Amino acid sequence: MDRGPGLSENAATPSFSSAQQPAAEAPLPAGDQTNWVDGTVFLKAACDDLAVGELIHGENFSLFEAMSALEIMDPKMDAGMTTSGYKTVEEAIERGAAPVDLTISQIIDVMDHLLSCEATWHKGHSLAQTVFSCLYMLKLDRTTPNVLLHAYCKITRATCSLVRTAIVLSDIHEEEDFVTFGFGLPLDAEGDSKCLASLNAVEEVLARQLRGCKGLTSGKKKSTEEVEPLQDDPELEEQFCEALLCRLRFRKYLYHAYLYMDKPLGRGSEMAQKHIAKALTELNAIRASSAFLASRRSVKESLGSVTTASGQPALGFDESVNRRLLAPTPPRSIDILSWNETLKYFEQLLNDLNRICSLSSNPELEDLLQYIVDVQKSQPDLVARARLQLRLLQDGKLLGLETIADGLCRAIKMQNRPAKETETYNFLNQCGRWMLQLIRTMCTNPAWQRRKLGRFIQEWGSLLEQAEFSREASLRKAGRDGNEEKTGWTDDAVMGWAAESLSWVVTHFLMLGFELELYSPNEYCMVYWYLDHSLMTLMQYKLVKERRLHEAEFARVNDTSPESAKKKGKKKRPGTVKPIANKEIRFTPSVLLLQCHINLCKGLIWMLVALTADRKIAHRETVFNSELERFTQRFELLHKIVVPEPMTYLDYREAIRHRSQSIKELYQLSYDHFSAVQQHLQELNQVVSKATKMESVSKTQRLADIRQMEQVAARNRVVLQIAHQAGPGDNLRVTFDFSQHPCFAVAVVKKT
Amino acid sequence: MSEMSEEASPPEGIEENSSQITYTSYRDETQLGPIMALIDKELSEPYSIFTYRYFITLWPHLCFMAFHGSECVGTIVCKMGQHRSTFRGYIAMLVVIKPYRGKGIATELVTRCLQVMRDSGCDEVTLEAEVTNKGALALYGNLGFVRAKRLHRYYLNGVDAYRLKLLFPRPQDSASLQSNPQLWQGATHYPAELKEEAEEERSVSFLRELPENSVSFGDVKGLESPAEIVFHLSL
Repeated sequence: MDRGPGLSENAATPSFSSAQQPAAEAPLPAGDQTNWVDGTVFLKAACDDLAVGELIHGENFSLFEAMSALEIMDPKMDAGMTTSGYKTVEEAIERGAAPVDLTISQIIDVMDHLLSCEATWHKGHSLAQTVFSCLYMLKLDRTTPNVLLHAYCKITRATCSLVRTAIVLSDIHEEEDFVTFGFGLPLDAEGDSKCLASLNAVEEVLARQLRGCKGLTSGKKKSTEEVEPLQDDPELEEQFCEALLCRLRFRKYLYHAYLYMDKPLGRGSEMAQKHIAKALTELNAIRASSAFLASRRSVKESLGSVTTASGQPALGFDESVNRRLLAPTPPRSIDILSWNETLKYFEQLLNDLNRICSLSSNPELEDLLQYIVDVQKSQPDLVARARLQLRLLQDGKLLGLETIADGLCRAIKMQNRPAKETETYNFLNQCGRWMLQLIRTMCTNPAWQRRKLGRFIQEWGSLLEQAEFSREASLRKAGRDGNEEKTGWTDDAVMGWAAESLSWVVTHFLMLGFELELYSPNEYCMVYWYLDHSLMTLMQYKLVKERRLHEAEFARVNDTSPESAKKKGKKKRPGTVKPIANKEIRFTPSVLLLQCHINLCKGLIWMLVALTADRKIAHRETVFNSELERFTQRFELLHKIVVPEPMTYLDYREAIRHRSQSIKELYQLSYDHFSAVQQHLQELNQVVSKATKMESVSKTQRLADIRQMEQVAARNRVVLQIAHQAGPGDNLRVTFDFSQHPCFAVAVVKKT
Repeated sequence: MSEMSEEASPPEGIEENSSQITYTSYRDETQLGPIMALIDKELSEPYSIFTYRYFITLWPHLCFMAFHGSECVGTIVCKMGQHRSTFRGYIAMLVVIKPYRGKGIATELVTRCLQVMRDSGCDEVTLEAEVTNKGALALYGNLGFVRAKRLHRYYLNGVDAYRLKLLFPRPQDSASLQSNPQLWQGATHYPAELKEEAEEERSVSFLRELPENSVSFGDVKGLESPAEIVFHLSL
């Protein structure tokens, strides 16, 4: 054994073989040629031999093993240490923890708490601790005599199964996101596809009952068939009926909506949207029923932790019975969402699903990506995002309709497909794979998404670089042969599209950093500067594309020569046709939006430069490194790609250097950019309002963006004026926040 | 791993100034008990004895303790090692007990570790901190750490974390600052005049006022015309 001060790397493994255990007692019964020996004495002797600080260390015991080791009997780590509660579901039921014979208000409490559990599961907790903490769910067959409860539990189970399948298929969850592991819980049961039949039957009876009550209260004569009342008080019968009906119907419509979302776009979406709308109506009815149910509560408690409409705890839930099913990790504390949070959660889920169903059948790739960004703006949870991804990529096809190759050709506006095994063909193939991955990634949660995008940017960057190399090589070869026909404008269009896409991803990557609050105030200037650079690159490629389309159109209309047909799809160098003026290029919403973003960046860059020069922003030097290191760290990834052109720290310092400009002029410069933003926003507003082809989600989001950006521009202009009027020096303290827009900061002034 | 929350709350009943705080490096196993007790009390994550031993026995010189009198009021536990192509320091645990917060003890503990790491040749230092832990985030921000990533629901309590990273100065980066401007301009694809010109001209509605087939986009950095971009990529 090594006796060094540190850990021994080659520590001899203590041997437990009986040969070296002369003092050992009689060996315990052996099996499979294994002898079990009591090692206590040996260990004790070995311990006495060790001085303070000495350890026995197995080579295979690293940080991972150390971190995943659990100390048995330590309640902070050992989930089994909580010995209170029932040990098995059978024991709980036997002791009467889940009676099947329940009053109506008790049934409603179970339904409500179960719904809260379901929402909590969606939010990332294990099934065992949420939905299956319900003893009725664990032993569903028991509940058959209670038709209401049975129907509700059955459809809940069927719905959970649909949700889990969708999430597993989408494969966008991470372990921290969602626990798909079922722990052998009875989630998928046969016959659950018929859950609607029993639900419909119960609903039918209840509806009749409700009609009966209404007949009574309005003084009409009783319905011919007598139904047994739900409870004793005839005054309350109607309200109880309604409370139950909306809960059952909510479940039914939600289940239908999920089913229709699995069907192909078009009619599937339409039907899903119809059911989502109905489910939302029922959800409102559930919310409305809360007042009635809560009024019957005897003890008033604080509403925060309440998980049912009535505020009463529900019967039949016990977390401890599944304790043995949990993963061998320290016990994770779990709080079931409150009733209000649950209602809010389902409302958002339904609205998100509705947005997802509203997607039209053939958006262009570029619009599709923008659509995903726009859907993500409402911060949909995993369930909605999984549905989004399944919808966008069904059977490996875009929206289940178009192969990615077709989608790319449409995006690039290629008339002729490249021949197989050509460079362009192979390149497009790689682009296609990359694009599918990109779409998938963009459906993940923003934190994970940004990390994944970082990797994509690198891969995509090297792909472009390779393509550029081989193109150069083949061109050189072609040049020697005197044959320049090899690069037609089709090739340029492909590269241009690829570069545009990469610039778009980089832009998105940088902007996501703001949403995730990754940047600190002393980095804002450099980030806006790099973002501006990336936006400018994107804009240029976009304009090149627009121009090319325009020229192609122009040539098509004007060219009447007999050769035109032959020429088509071949060489078309810039300048061979009459150049198109920029103003002739149509200004699409995406171009105008870019223009607004660019001006906002520039406005903020110069605002930050001016305020720093004017000593109105606190500046602190760091001991261990400088701005250079932070710049390097922040943009290291973007220095490895060809497009947007890598920008160094020196480029940055040069760009923000204000040579002869006075602080006043810097303020003015920033002010002018914000004024320009406001002007462009008006144009954008007009174009968006008139746009007919835009996705409804994108249109709504764009109009919201416009209002947000207006606020940013207007507020920052005011601050610039105040700062300027305050005169030079640190008489004001300016800070920035993101209260108006997730990416573009507004300045806030305080007197010092 | 976890970080203590270092809110700048006024010290409760601690009159002594921070000069009476003494700092010591980890000595031997007898100190492991107090360190564990301190950390277990303050941090949400439970760690096994193996985790403590892993860090402290392998890198005793990266463990410091802050004492007020004989009471241990704060501690830091770190490691360092090869991570892919970099030599990386990692701050695993940092704790200062509540009454002693806001007195710069944590900053001092981190600073001592960073010094050892820098002198041992670390390229960078990383750690994780809860997104809600404003005090710790400010502390590390002031020391030059950048929030490199956000980790979704990182902790057992369901809270997101940031991965923070500090990059020590590298010779090649500093060299780039002194390099001949001609050289780096040559490395980018832009002629210097274009750069100058673009910097001068910062027209606001740059899209509308451009002459036909114009080159400049009024950009701060000066970019090529659309035609040149295509050329650059395809050649």
